[in-house]
Amino acid sequence: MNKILKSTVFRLTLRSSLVFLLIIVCMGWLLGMSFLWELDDNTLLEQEERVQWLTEIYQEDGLHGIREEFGDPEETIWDEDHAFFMLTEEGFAVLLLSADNESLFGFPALRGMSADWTSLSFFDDEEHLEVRVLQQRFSDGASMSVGQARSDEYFFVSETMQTGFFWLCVIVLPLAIVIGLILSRKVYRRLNELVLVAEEIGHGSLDQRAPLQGKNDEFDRLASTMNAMLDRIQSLHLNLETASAGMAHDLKTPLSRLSNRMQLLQQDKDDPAALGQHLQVAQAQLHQITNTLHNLLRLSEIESGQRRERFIELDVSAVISDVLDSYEPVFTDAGRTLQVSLVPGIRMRGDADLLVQMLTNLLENSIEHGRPGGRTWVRLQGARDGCVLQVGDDGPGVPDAEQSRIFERFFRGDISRGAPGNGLGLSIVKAVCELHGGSVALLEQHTGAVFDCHFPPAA
Amino acid sequence: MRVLVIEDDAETASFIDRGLTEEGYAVDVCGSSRDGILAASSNTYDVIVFDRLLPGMDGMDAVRVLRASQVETPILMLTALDGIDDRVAGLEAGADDYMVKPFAFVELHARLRALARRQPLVTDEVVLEAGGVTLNRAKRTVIRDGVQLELLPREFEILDILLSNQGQLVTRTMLLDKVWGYAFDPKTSLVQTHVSRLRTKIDKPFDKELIRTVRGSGYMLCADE
Repeated sequence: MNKILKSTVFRLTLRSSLVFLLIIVCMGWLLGMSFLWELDDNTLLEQEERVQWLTEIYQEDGLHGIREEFGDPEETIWDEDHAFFMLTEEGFAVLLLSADNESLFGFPALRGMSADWTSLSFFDDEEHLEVRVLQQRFSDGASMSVGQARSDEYFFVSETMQTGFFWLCVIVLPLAIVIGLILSRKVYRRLNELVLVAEEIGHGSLDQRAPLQGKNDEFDRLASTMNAMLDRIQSLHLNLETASAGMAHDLKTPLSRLSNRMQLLQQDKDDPAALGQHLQVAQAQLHQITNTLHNLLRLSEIESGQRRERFIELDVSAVISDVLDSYEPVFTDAGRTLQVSLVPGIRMRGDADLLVQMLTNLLENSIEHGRPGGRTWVRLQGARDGCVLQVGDDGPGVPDAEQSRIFERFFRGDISRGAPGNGLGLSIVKAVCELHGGSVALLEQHTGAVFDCHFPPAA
Repeated sequence: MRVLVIEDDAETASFIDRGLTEEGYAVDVCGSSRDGILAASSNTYDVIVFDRLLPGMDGMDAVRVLRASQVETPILMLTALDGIDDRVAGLEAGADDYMVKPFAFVELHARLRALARRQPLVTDEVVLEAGGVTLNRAKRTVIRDGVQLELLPREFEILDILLSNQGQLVTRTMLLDKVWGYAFDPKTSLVQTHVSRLRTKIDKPFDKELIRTVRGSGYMLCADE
C-alpha cells in the first residue's frame, strides 16, 4: 500500500485531479459571478425606470398622484407589514420626503439608506432583505427614495453556487484518491511483474523472460524489448562460455603436450638426436599456442568494429584476383584445381587486409577439408543488394549436425581436433563479413562445402 | 656490427644480447626509452632494436623523437601488441621493420642483418646483380647467363628481396611481410610454393643452384662457391 501511495501514477493522478478541480471551481465562480452581476445590472435598470415613472407622476399630480398610483389614499405612511409585502411581492418600496425632510408617504426606514445593497431587518430580525435605494430630488425641495429588493433569483443562484462548490470538493477529492489508487495499483502490478523478472535475472537465472499480456501496450513493448535484450545477452553469454571452454581446451592441450615434451627433454638429455626432435616438436606446439592467441586477438579486434573507421571504397574484384593469383600455385601443388570466375570492377566499402584474410581462410579451409584431387571454385558477382563471393569445393562437405555450429569460435569437426588450425578460421570469416555489413552462409543441400558471402553495395 | 637493444624485460633483453654476442656483435642494452634515446643519439649504431612497450614513454613516441633529432639508424620495433594497424603505425612513426613477440632468434637476426645492410638515406639501386643473375627494377627484367627469364610479379619481388640480401638468410615471415604484406600467418605453404616456382625458372635450367633453403627458417641466395 505504501508503495502504491508513493507511486508516480498515484501522485500524478492526484495532482492532475486537483488541478482539474481548481480549474472547474475557478470557471464556475467566474461564470456565476458574471451572471449575478448581470442580474444586479438588470434590477438597477428596472429601478431607474421606476424612479423615472414615479417622478413623472409626482410632477404631474403631486403627492396626490403618488397616493392614487399606490391605490390607497388613506394610508400614507407604510408600516413594516405593508413595506415587507411590497418589497417581497412587487420588489420595491417608496419614501416621499417633504422639503423640510418629513415623511409624506411610504416606508420611512428607507430614509438615509445608500445606493449600495444594504441589509434591512423586519419583524425583530426574523426576516432579512437586501435593499438598494435610489434618490430623486424635485424642484420644490421634496425628494423621493425608491428602494429595490434584491431578487430571489440572485439568492438562489449564489446559494446553488456555494453548495455546488462544496459538494464538488467533497465528492471529487476522495474520488480522485480512489481512482489514483486503482490506476496505480494496476500499473504497479504490471511493473512489479517486470521488476520481479529483472530481480531473478539479476540473481543469475538468465533464462527468465518477462511475461507478455498480448495487449501490445507500453508494458508489452517494454517486456518484449527486455526479452530481446535478454536473448542477446544470453546468446553472448553462451558464446563466452563456449569460447572460454574452447580457449581453455585449445591452450591447455598444446600446453600440456609442451610440458610433456619438456619432461622428455629432461629424460633424453644425453641423446642429441632425440633432443633435436623434441625441440622441434616443442617449437611447433609453442607456435600453435601463439597462433591461437593471435587469431583470438584478431577476432576480438574485428568484432569490436573499430576497423570500420578505416573503410575505404575499393575494387573488391582486384583484391580477390590478387589473392587468387598467389594461391593458384598452392592449389596446383596440393593436387587440386582452382576455378576462378570474377566479375571485374565490383566496388564496395571495406578493409582490403581483412577481406584478404577472410578469403585466405576460406581457401585454406577448402584445401584442408576438400577431396584430394578435387576442385575448388571462387566466384564473385554483383547482386541486387551488393555482391556475392562464393567459395566452394566438391569435397565431403560439412555433416548436417555440424552445419549450424561451424562459425562458432573454437568449433571444429570432432575428427579434426588434432589437425592444425584452431577452429577460429571460420569465426574470423564471419566476423569480417559482419563487420562489412554482410553475412556468410554455408549453402545447404549442396555436395561439398559452399560458402556464400554477401556484401552490401558501395554507396 | 654494433647493436643497441632498448628493452625493459630483462629476460628478453638478455636473450637478444646473448644471441647477438654469440654472432660476434657488440651489443648495448638499455632498460628505458630515456636511456635508449640518450644512447642512440650519442653513439653510432648499425641498427637499433626498440621495444614498443617501455616504462616512461611509448616506444612509438620514442622512435618519433629519435627521427626528429636526425638519428637515421635503422630501427626494428618489437612488440607484444599485435593489432592489425600497429604494424603500419610503427612504420609510420619511423621504424624500419616491425616484429611481433614471441619471435625466433633466427628471424630477429635475419631482419637485423637486412636492416643493417640498408644504408640510411641511400637511394635504392636500379640494377641488382649476383652469380650471373641481373635484375633490373626499372625495366622489371631478369636475365641469367644472358637468358631473359619470364617471372610473375610475386616471383620477381621474391628474387628482388633475395638479391638485396644475398648471402643472408631471408625468413619466410620476412617474405610474407614484404611480398604479400600479410599481417597473418597462412596455414598453407604459400611462400614455399612461390619460391619453388621461382626456383624452377631461375635455377633448374642452369648448372648452379642460387637459392638455397635454410631448413625451418627460410631462404638464402648465394652467389659464390
